[in-house]
This record gives sequence, structure tokens and C-alpha cells, in this order.
Amino acid sequence: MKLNLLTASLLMSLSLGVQAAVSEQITVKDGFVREVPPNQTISAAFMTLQNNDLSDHKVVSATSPAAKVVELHTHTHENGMMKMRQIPQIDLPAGADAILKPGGLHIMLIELTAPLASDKPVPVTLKFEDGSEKQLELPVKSVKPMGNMGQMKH
Amino acid sequence: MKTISLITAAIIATLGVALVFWQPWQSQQPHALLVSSQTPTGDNFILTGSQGESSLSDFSEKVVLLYFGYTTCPDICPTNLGNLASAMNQLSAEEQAKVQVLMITVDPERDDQAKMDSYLPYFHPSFKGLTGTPEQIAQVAKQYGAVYQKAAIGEGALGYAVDHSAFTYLINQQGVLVSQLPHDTSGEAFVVAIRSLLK
Repeated sequence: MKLNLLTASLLMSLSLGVQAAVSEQITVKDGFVREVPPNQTISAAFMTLQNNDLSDHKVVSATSPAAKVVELHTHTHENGMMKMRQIPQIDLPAGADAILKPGGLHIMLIELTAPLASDKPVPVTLKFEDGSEKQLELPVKSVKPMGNMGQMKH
Repeated sequence: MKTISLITAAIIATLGVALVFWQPWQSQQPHALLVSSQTPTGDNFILTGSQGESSLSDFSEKVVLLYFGYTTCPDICPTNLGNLASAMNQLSAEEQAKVQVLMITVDPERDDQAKMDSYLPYFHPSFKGLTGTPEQIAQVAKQYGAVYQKAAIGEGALGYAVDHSAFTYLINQQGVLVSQLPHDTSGEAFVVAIRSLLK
């Protein structure tokens, strides 16, 4: 009974809009940085950002010690051409997943400071609209699946 | 002004989200029409490869998968080349010997042969990169209906990017353009397309 009261009051305080940091409302899943060919100085980070909150949020910037410049990008498909463009934010709709994946939204790592190694996770920090941050350690993943691994997705 | 940029941002973000859910293989739209209303003729070409002059006819008796891209291409090219590599790895050694993946650079200013030669084999040791003068490349792109243009990106940290059509052109053993496969064609779908010509 006491517990129920506690739960009720907790729920009430939540619904009254006690503000938690945005970073705590976001779950990051399946994140990775793409392994790159030799001498390539550009890579990208991909992930699924799950917004567990009742309000919309957004990623406003990202940083990483692995690259001199980190930008938020998307692709659009116009007149048969794939166009990559920098965007000011990545929208995280309430209760939904924002999917960053090849050919779509991604976090661009420009001018890598050192070659990426498959055994060395890449630190990436996401910054949200309230200034709160989330620190990630993303594995480096090759885009060229070996053998029949590609079939396992289905 | 601020409202306008907010609206623009919202539109861009919406487009981005739309793209994530955009499933090319479910679309009835013949994609070639987006680029040109004419059926590309394909046909032979002469460019430069790591061994000097290289033409499509050098690869007769092989199924050729031709792609237009560039080595500093941040996302689209590595995704497609990764899928092509995945397809190669699903083929038997015997089948692999009858298939050639070629990438023609759409950025000849920055892509010299050395760059192409260090880039392509990363995906698969058999992949080859071709360069040429901007005029030569424009001519081949025209034959195949490929389009590209330089684009400033963001604050310019990338220098420039090259917007480009991202089809993979499937060419049979007689050098005839058979079909064009859209961006994000899976390794499995490439295997099906390749095997349809190996029969």
C-alpha cells in the first residue's frame, strides 16, 4: 500500500513535468563507426536513438576526439542523385526511434585524427537541446561482411 | 528569418526521416526517368586503370558491375561497394572469376590512380578503379545515364562532395548494358542479378 502511494506520487511528479536531463531520456542502441579503407580520413557513426520521453527532443551536435570535425548529416534523393547535406539537428520524436544508418541520417567524422582500429572503440559525445550530453563508446565495424554473414540478417 | 531557418531545418529533418523509410525496391517508379528520360545505351569505353589504358571490352566474357563514385565519398559509395563485396563473397571462386566490379571516379580532380588502387581492393581484392580526363568521364557517364555534380558541404570541412546517381550498372558478357540496380541493393540481390547472367 505504501509502495502504491509512492508509485502514485512518483508518477504524479513525473506527469507534473519534473525535468530530467534529456540525455537520460534517450537510449542509444546498435551504435557503430564504419571502418574505412586505407588512407581514408572520413568516416561516419550510425546508431538508433530511442526517445523514451513524452516530449520531442533533438541532438544538436556531436563531438569526438577521433576527428577534427564532427557534423550531423543526412542524405536526400533528388533527381536520381544522392545528395549529402549537413543538418542543424537530428530530431528525436517522442516515444520513437530515430535511425541513423548508411544512406540516411548519420554523424560524419571528418579528418580522422588517427586510423580507426577494429579493436579500439571510438568515443563520441552527443549533445542535446538542453545542453545535456551522452558519452558513447562505439565499436568500429566493417561494411563488408565476410562470406555468407550478410544472409543472417534475414 | 529565424522562423524560416527553423522551417528549413524541419523540412530537411523530415526528408531525412522519409529517406530512412524509403524503400526503393517497393517503388514502381522506373528510376532511370528521374535522371534521364532516355534509355542509356551503355556501350564500350576507354579510360585509365592501374595497368594503363583500360576499356570495357577488356572484361568481355565477364559479368561487369559498373559504378560511378569517388574515394572521398563519405557514405553512399562505401555502402554500395560493401554490398558488392558481400555479393562477391557469396559467390563461389569459379563464379567470382567470371565477375568484375569497376568503379569510375566522378572526382578525377582528387582521385588519381594511386588513390583508386588503394581504395577499391579494400572492399574486395578483385575490384578495379578507373580514371580519365573530366571529358572522358563525362562521356562515359552520359552513355550510362549517370549524373554528378560538385556540391559544397556544411561549413566546408569536407572541401566538397560530389552528388551523384548511385546506380550499379549490370553489363553482360557481350558488353551490353542489361539493367541498373538502385542504391542500397543488397548483396543478396546483387548475387541474384549476377547469377541470372552466369547461367
